Amino acid sequence: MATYNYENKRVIFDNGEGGVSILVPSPNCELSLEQIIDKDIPAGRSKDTLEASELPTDRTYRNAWTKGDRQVGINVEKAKALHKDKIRAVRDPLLAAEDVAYMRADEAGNNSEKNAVRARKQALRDVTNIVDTATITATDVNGVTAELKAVWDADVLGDNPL
Amino acid sequence: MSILKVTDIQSNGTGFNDVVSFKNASGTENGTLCRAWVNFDGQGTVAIRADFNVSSITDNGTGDYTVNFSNSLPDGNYCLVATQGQNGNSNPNYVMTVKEVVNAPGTGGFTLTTNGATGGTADSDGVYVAVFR
Repeated sequence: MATYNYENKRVIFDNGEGGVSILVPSPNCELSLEQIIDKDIPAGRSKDTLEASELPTDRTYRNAWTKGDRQVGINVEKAKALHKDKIRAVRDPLLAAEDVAYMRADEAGNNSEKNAVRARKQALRDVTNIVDTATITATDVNGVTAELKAVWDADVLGDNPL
Repeated sequence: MSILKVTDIQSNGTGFNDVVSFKNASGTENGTLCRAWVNFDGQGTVAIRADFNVSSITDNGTGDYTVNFSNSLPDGNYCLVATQGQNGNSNPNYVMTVKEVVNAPGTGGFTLTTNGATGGTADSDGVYVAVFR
C-alpha cells in the first residue's frame, strides 16, 4: 500500500469558536491528504492547506489566532486579554510579597514604609492598564505578537520574561 | 523452547480490529499489542516525529491537541499512556489530562491537554502517547 509524506503540509480550519485549529498530517500515512482532511476535520468548516513554513512559530498568543484567508490571523483584543493573564501571573507573587512587607511594616510601626507598600501595590494593581492603552499597529500575527510582548512595565514587574 | 522467526504475522480477519491474540499454553490471553502511538513536538511549528496508526494530530490551541487514528478502534474504552517533556526544566511540574468531558475518547481519536505548573495549558516540546485496547 502506498504511503504519503505530508510532513510539510498543514491544514488550517475554523474551529467553530472564532479561533483556528491546525491539522498536522502524519509524515507517513497510508491515507491521502484529502482522505485525512475528510476524516479528521469536521464537515462544513472553512479550511486552507498551507506549507508548515507559512505558519507563525511564536505561539505566545496561540489562543487568539484566527482563520484568515489562506493564512493565520490574530484577534488583537483576545491577544491583549492573554497578555494581561501573563502580566497577572507575574504580578500575583509580587502582590503576595508586598502583603508580607506591609505586615512587617505594621508590626514595626513604620508608617512611611506602609505608605510605600500601598503605593507599590496600587502600581501592581494598575499595571494591566498599559495593555488597554497600548496601540498595536501591526495586523499580522508576528507583528502583533512582537508589539504586544513589548508592552511591559519593567519598573513595576521586573524583567520581561516574554 | 522454540523460536519463531518470521517477517509477518497475519490475523485471520482483514479488519484493523481483527487483532492477533497472544495466549499461554492454557489458552489464556496474556498480552496485547499497542494499537496506536505518536511522538510529537507541540511547540513552535507543531510536528509529528513518528507514529503508528495516527493519521494526524490537530493543534487546537495552547497545549491542546487532538490525536486522530488512521484506523478506528472498536470503542472508546482504550487505555492511554501518555507523558510529556519538561521544556528544559523551566516549568517542571507538568501534568497531562485527557479531555473526557469536552471531547470523550472516541473510536476515531481523543483530545489531550498539556499543562504547566500554574495549572493553565502550556505547549510541550515532547508529547508521547501510546494506546492499548
